[in-house]
Amino acid sequence: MLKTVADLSLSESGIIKEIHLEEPKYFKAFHLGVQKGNKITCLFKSPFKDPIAYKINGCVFTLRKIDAEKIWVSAYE
Amino acid sequence: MNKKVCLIGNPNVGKSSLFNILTHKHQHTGNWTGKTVENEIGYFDYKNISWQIIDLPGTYSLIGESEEEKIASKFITEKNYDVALVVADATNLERSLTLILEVLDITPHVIVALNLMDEAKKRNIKINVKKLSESLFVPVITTSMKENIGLEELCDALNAEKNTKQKKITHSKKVQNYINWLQPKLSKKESPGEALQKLNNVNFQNKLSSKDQKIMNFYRHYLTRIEIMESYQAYGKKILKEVVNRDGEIEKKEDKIWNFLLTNPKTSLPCFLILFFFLLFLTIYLSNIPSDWLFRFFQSGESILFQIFSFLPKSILEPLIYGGYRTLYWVVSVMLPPMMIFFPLFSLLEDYGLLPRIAFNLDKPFQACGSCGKQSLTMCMGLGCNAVGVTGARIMENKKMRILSILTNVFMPCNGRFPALIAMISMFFIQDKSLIGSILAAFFLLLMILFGILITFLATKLLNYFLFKQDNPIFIIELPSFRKPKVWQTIKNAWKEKAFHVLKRAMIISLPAGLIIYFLSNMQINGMSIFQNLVELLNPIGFFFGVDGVILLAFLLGIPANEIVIPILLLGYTSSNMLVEYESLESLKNILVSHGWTILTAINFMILSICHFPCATTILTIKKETKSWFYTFLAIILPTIIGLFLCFLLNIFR
Repeated sequence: MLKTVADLSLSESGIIKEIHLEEPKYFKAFHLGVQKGNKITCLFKSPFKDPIAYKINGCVFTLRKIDAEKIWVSAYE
Repeated sequence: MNKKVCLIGNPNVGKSSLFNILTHKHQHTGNWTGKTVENEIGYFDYKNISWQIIDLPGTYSLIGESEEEKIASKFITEKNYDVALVVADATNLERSLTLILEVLDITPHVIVALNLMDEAKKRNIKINVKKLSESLFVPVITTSMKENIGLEELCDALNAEKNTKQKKITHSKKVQNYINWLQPKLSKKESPGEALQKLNNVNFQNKLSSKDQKIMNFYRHYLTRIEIMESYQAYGKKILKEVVNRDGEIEKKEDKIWNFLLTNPKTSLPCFLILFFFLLFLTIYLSNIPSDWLFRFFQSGESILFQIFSFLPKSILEPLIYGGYRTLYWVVSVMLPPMMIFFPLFSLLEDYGLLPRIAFNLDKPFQACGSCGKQSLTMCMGLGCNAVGVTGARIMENKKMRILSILTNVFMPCNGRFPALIAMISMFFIQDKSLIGSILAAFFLLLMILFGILITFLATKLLNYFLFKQDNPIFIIELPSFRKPKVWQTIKNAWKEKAFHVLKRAMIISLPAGLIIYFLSNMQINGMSIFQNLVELLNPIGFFFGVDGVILLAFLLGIPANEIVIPILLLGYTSSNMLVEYESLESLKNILVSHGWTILTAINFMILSICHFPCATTILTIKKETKSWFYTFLAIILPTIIGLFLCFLLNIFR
């Protein structure tokens, strides 16, 4: 079952399956590791719950909630 | 022999550090994305070869759309260099490799510097360097800028470079189709990578036949940038499989603790406030003594200078000393100590990787104002110098956010106004110079800066409401892992840079300005000095805003540089009697009080100090960066109106 990365709880991981970000956001996110098949982990949230920090391949980066809702992952064992 | 090498790499992988080490320059490096926004050029010699080295802005790919990315890709495609030195990040080779492949697709003259190797080892990421070098056909040198490892090997490789064999990269079918179609239309020298660059090059398309233009148009919609990147990515993955092993990867301990404190929703904001408060406290507490010391030192120089230059007539000597020299030493003794304490400490925090975390924590409020957290980075730069903050606004992703951060940057009290605020606080609010007094003063200063931040939010919101309708916010930034900065070197560099900056500006601006003000206050028209005439003119206006004509005139005459505002005040008040000796910084207060200053005047002065037109350098920079008279005008008028309005409000309730 797929869910968005915005729904990942802290330190939960998922495998990226679908990305519905539009250009140029997608292009930017792509370089930080938002690519199909990569493992993404939710690390922490800002004091206002948005944006959220994620980790892919050891790179930590931030996504706003509205963008995080456009990235779909499957559960990671 | 002269040769050219350019440095290219992802943001924040140590290009600038490498550049500094090779050229012995002191360009400031920081642990965050986008520190370098322009090509930096330097020179170094190694074993009979003179190298010119060009530091390109950090970029993730050669087909990006932001200003910096375009600068970097244009330089690489023009091939006006002998070697392209790609600086790669050993802790994230996955990402660096796509850029390496892109560069390899354009030129065979590539050397890879695999930086941050020490970091990768600490995290137990295993990299087979030999295999990497073999599969790329180019030399790969492992380096660590922090420990100066691998520099000699790197230079040897540079000197020996004469690779001519173009690496063939297997692309995806879609990308290859496009390359196969376009390449026959290009000259023989042009590589597949260049064909991909042409995809969005309008100038190139106009030169094609109309039939080809149609096909090109088709490809532009058919082949997205993401697909091109995926093509490189897929090829890179095959290489990575045999090169990188992340099975035993561990997270660094210090990252865990700091991340917990600084990014935990409950502790992060208080933590940042405390950190910033501590920074201000140290600045105030430690700069009191050297400030006084410098002041006395320069003051005793007055009589010595009189003796040395006693051969000059009085009419020349007095303006030089009472006008020029006094302004100069006041600026130096008030500005230098706080700058020498605040900026090294701030650079340390910056190098440690704190700034992106501030941006992360503050994104939400900025988002509500129509901007994004990155604006806080330009604000931090503005604390140093507003002109730098305005240029730094290039890191903003789109024009709207860029204009917003340019127009509101002036609300961050820069280098030139910061010490004036400190002086005001210690004169009128907290005279106590003990530890407790310094703590209170730091708290007060923090409040003033928070006030500036609040005004920034309001002004951003206001501008966003009236100026911009469209909304396409992007906020995707990297949070680099904490890196232990080279403490001593950072402090030394900040000292050199700041001392030089303050002294240079004191010489070229404060000294002549002091002379001009002296003449203004001593030349007579209608029995009054010109200065006094202007003051009389401004007095009724000032009355509305709870200040006097001298203060307004000081801000107006302070346009060349904000640091001369207080010297102008003093010269203005003491012009009737130039023989008044300022015994210490405290006696300044008596001068001000004797001219009707109250606490409210001081508050109004501080508000105006934060909210008024930017200095001349900043205005010119705004014009240059926005290329618009409208925005420049707005940048002048907006803070002035806000400042006057606030003072007016305060004055009503007096």
